[in-house]
Amino acid sequence: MIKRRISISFCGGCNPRIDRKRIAEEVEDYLTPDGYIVVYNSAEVDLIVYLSGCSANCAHRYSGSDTPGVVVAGNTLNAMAVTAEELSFLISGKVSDYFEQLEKSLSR
Amino acid sequence: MTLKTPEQYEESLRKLNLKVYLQGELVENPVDNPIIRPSMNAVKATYELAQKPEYKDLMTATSHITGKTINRFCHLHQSSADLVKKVKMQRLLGQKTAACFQRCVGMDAINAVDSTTFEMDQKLGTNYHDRFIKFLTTMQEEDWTVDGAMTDPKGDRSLSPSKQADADLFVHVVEKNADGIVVRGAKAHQTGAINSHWILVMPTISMGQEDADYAVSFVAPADADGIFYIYGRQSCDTRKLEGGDIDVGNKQFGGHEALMVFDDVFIPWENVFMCGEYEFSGLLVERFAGYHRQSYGGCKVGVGDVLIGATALAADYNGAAKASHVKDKLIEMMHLNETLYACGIACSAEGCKTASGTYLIDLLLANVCKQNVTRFPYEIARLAEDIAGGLMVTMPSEKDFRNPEIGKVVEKYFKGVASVPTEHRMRILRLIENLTLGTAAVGYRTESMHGAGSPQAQRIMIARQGNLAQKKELAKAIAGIPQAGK
Ligand SMILES: Cc1cc2nc3c(=O)[nH]c(=O)nc-3n(C[C@H](O)[C@H](O)[C@H](O)COP(=O)(O)OP(=O)(O)OC[C@H]3O[C@@H](n4cnc5c(N)ncnc54)[C@H](O)[C@@H]3O)c2cc1C
Ligand code: SF4
Repeated sequence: MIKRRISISFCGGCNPRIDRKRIAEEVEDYLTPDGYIVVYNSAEVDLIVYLSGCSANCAHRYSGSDTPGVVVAGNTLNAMAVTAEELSFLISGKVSDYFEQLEKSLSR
Repeated sequence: MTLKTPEQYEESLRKLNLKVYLQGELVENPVDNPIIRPSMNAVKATYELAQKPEYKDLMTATSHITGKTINRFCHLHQSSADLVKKVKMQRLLGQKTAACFQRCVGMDAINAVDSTTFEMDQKLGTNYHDRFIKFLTTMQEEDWTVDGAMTDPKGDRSLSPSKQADADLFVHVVEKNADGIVVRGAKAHQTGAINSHWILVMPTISMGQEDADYAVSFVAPADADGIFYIYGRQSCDTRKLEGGDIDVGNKQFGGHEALMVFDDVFIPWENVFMCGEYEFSGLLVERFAGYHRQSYGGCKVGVGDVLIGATALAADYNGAAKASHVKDKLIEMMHLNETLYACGIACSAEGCKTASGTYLIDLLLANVCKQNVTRFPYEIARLAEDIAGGLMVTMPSEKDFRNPEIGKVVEKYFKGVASVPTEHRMRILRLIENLTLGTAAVGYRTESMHGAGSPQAQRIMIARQGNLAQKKELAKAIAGIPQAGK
């Protein structure tokens, strides 16, 4: 299996409403056993988790990157409201879903 | 015809069959009624400016549905730049009308209903969003003015809708059938109701299961069967019947509010966007209120610009303009006004995309904006009255001024600086009176206090969004106190 590289890209962290560090660590814990390589703040990856502390969504807004991404802004995941407790689990799910879809479309 | 001309707008209102009561009588022709007409002119300005190339960038937008150029008042914000332009457009219109131009409530309502119905459908499998987009497409095509109707009369504020002594104190569903619903109740303080083509109704508070019949959102034509209006009285309103143009302060423009009554009105299902989904009523209220709290960071600032200009002229005309305290007070007025604007821009710049694609303001900053609006226009008005002098409330009437005999006396004794005609001084003082105590004070003062929610409503949101726990952790880190979870 090709190792997929994921970046967790942080916003500046001026006024976070969620614990970004804890969420990043939990997402890494979910993904590494499944063979993903998790790095931080890199654009040289297959997928970026944009992790912003509040709805201003600076991690994504100012990224200037066209790498595909999962967007977290405060208590929202891809713009849908979620609870802080379920956030890490749901982010990991979105990452896996993305690669499953990608593999399906490539094998067609 | 995605952009109506001002003339087409006026004609379209003439075709409506509105039932409006004003001072105890049914109004035959609201468009030409001298009390109502200035408010129609203010809405008309939103059509007029959209025709001018120099204002096109703010006044129009590209529809994300059809790709056509539409009036920004019919637009769903597609970026934080759109949110910023909205505030700038409102400042511009405040400057041009010195009044409430009424059309923002509907714009804020469509933006809130869009994202809420989208998320409701995702969660509950309903199909409200498709219905809403159908309505919006026609609204954009026809360039309609839509009344955003949220506030119910509310009766006893300590009781929920279903616990009120009179069930009609909140708009509610009294019948459901295969074709639609029948609604009863009223909406109070409805800005621009008589100048609107359609009404977009939303619930007024977050509701529980027992209030499910009150969790209702829909659109209705402004002249639908069973809807009627009782026009709101404004301070000094009957000066408009006197025929002059000085004492009214602002002859051309004004705003209005009305009580809107739903006397068993039938709404077909295609026009219903919420019916019993009480768990989404809070989200809809929060988003609508958020957008409208942003709005005041534009419109009140534009009106403030006119008031500051009028105050500076009053000082020029009475010879006090060079006094250091006068200069300082004008600086303070500008500082307060620009602070409001800064809040309006900030909550827009920090706006974010919702699941439907429509951009939402930063709710914390929008609430901070409105909280400041509940205070600063009052201070600006106080400073304006200080500089204007007592004459703004003791001056004889225009009829005295026009009288061949006593007019000369008025001319002589109310002259300020010799080079400035007394009439100019009178006009500026009447404008200040209009904005601070007259018909326009409805919009500039009391609406600043209560419109989009009374001050306490913003404080509740600031408490919720302010992230106090994080601030405590920051202080602990600096003070050397062990932090949570470390
Ligand atoms: C000029 C103007 C234009 C407006 N335009 C529109 C419009 O176009 N569309 C629209 O839908 N609405 C509009 N509004 C309505 C506006 O949103 C309401 O005025 C606002 O929500 C306050 O409601 P109220 O006026 O009923 O005040 P009240 O509810 O009577 O409030 C009076 C005081 O009681 C307090 N209070 C009320 N309830 C409680 C409670 N349960 N617990 C503790 N304290 C309480 C308030 O904080 C406040 O201090 C407009 C209002 C004004 C003044
Ligand atoms: S008060 Fe301001 S935001 Fe509200 S409708 Fe009037 S002009 Fe627009």
